[in-house]
Amino acid sequence: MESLRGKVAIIGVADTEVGIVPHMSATQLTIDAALKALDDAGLTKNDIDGLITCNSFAEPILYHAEAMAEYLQIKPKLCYSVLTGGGTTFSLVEHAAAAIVAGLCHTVLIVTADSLRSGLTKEKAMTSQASTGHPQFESIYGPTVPALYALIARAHMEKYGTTSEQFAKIAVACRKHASLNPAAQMRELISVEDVINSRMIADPLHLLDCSLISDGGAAVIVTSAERAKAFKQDPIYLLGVGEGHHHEHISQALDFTTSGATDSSKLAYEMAGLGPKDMDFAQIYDCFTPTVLVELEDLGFCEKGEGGAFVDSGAIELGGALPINTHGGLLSHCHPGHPGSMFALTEAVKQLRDQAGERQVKNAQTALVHGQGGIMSSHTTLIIGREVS
Amino acid sequence: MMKVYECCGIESVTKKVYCSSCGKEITNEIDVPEEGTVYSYTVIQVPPAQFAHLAPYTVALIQLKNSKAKVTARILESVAIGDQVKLDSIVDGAYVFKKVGSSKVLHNS
Repeated sequence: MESLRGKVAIIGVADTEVGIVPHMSATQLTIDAALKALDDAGLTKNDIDGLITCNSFAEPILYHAEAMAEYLQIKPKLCYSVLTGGGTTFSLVEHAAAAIVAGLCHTVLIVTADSLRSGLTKEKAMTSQASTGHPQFESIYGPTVPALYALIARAHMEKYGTTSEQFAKIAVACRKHASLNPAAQMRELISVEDVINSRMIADPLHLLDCSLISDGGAAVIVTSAERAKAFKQDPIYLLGVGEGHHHEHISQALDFTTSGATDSSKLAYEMAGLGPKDMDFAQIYDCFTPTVLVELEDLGFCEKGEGGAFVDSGAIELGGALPINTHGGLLSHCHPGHPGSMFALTEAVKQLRDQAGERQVKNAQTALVHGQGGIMSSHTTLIIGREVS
Repeated sequence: MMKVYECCGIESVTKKVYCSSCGKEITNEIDVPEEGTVYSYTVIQVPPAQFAHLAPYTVALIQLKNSKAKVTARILESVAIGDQVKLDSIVDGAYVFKKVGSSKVLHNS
């Protein structure tokens, strides 16, 4: 099997305005992100010959990618939508890379956006997210998405002695990073006590253990490594990628405290020829604080069961050994649903280009970005860097 | 008794037609006691609208006794992981369990 290592690069990235954006529909956000990414790369729409999107909850369109191509008036050779939950973003990059290496197309625009905050009522946003529940063995029990993740959190606490304070520190770190990001939805600093004292949503998850509900979109443009040097920005190369899919419904999961991130990261590290210690920072899917803690372990940044101690060490904050979610993550930057993890990728690219302003990780060369969808269901790990060594 | 569907040593409360191991039709239906232990749980304080009348309510995954299968349930009392529970009733298709014994191990939390 041919490796994708170093074969493609990200040459354009862009985010729309995020947070509460009632003046733009999901489609408008999609097109806005696409046009801004083209501008970032110094491309015109006619340079794009592949388009991959993800459907919207607020404004669902059956043939979503085709509709977006029509809106932009482009005629791509490859055009489709993917849906693997919040992990969709990164699997799209893998699929784009594979298509480019296979010669199906040369430059792929990946764009995702949604208006969960302004395009849906609060109730509709809750029920549409929870609609992934198993009809016979989950949905009739009235679980919310936080409740399904709470089952994982509780199991981890029981098995490894992880505490609510350790979960809370993840929210505190993300908020600290968001405070340095003018684009973030929530920027006011919070403390561990603020998290613990916030309203209980689904025990042991408090309000501030949960990600935001937002509007927003983001896009990236991927092209072959040969072409990548010809454009406006420093190319950021794909060094490793892998996916892991263990289940859809959490009630069917064989293991609550170990996820498919073990598989996805193993593949990504092997392809890159790198390990966890080689990462200058990481963007780790943070729909809820326990998700991050489990993933830190499964991605190999610490041993299984030691995620709590790793968080206690302060490693995950800017200035620490492994800063995570430098834009503020889903917990504090924004979370428009399926597009959520795209912002982790656009941020990682900005960091590697040395364009992250006050929150810049010094001399960042290599990063890991991990996306997860469903209830710890679909996992994709990307390793990207400035150089293909 | 509750039904568990078994093939190739894989047990589930979900009635699937085909075995994920051998691909053959699953024909072995096992009766297991309507009891087990709490595998994990949450107390839902902020519910979807159609469950608002129940809130706060406990949703748990139960490790069924004498089986590898787990089943989702609501539990009437507050519980801890490892507590022994037993089926109390079935409401709108949902299993409702009640606590019948505490976990043997003492926990700090």
